[in-house]
Amino acid sequence: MTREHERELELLAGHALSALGAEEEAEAERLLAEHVPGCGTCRDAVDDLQAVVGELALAARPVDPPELLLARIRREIREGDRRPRRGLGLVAAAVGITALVGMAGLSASLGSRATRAEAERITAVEMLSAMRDPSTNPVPLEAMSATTAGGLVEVAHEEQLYLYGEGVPAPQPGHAYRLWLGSDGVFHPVGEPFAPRDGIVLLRITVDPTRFDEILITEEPLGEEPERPRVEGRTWHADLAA
Amino acid sequence: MNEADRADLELHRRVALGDGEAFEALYRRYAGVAYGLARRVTAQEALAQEVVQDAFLALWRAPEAYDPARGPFRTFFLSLVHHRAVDAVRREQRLRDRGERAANLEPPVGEDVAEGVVRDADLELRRKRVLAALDELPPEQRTVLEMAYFGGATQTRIAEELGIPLGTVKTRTLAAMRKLRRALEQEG
Repeated sequence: MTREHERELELLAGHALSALGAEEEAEAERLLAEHVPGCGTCRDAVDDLQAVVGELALAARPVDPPELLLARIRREIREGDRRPRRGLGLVAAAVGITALVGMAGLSASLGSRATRAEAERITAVEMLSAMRDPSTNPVPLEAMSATTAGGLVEVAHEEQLYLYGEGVPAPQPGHAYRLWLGSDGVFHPVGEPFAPRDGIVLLRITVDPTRFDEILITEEPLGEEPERPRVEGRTWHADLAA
Repeated sequence: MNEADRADLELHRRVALGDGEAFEALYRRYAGVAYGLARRVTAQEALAQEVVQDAFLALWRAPEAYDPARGPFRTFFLSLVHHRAVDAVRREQRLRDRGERAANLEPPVGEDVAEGVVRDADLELRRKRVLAALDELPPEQRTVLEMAYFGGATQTRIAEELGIPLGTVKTRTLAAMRKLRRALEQEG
């Protein structure tokens, strides 16, 4: 095995453990999309790494969860089953088609991947499920400058916020995108910095979006913890209160 | 694939058809392990419950996310729990770093909680094998692996805390994971 392969496998090991910083995570994602599908050594290694991550869970002391937890899960499932599956509204229909097209592309590119791939696929399925829920309100985000191409949609559902985008340009070198939620003009960064893969963004964030009235995505330098959004780079915006 | 793995596969197949009893059978088999893991990673009971609930609901809502060709259901599901637990702990950390109210203010859980019993003989046997394989690792490799896996730390933070180069953290991590894989493969 070449030294270059060792470096790649070290990156994939960090990825499997969810232990990479934003920049390296983006590199690992690129590796998984572009190199791993065609490399038998890396493909096998990815499967082996995921097996270790799964088996290591058994080293934690098992603890019986409270009985209440199963009751809560049963209730969630019952309520989910009772939700009417009516036809999609006009806005949701347009968004849904976009999301389905994007998801098909995503599934194909994830074909031989492991670890986070399954989690991402779940996020996609959850987001589509949320879109079918009448209480869900997909909000298209508006590009705020001519260079900000690509469409992004925010979907809020049961204290989960899903962000989907396609045709999203890569951030400038050394930068990543940040999601901000604002209330009365004060914005808070939410979740980790992110970058599109093959133009696609698919994020799931646990937050109650009803507490906020604006959503903003900005381009921020990597490695910095911005206190306020930097709107000089590519920026998307939506008014949640509208 | 052993008998327990085949039983999981059958339960998963039924879950994909909307069989609630099969779902609860998987819950009974994995809830204790999943909660023990989430509790150790997040060190918060409420957050750990949220992680486990979230993982099981994801399984119910999107069972097709598991591809049997990629390995046993067990490793898929527990990887998912781990991934979500690390996400949850990073989210909490960000809130704390910004000096804001964290979603869970309860004190971190200690180690004095009575250990749950792994009633499942197959999982109990596997747990013993994993602990034995971890014991065999050189201490410096075990430390970086446990800081990442159970501490939810990034490799950069581990390097800072241990005062060693990032490259060393990466090399030790990969070496540890390879040794564990070999040890667990030999045990079957």
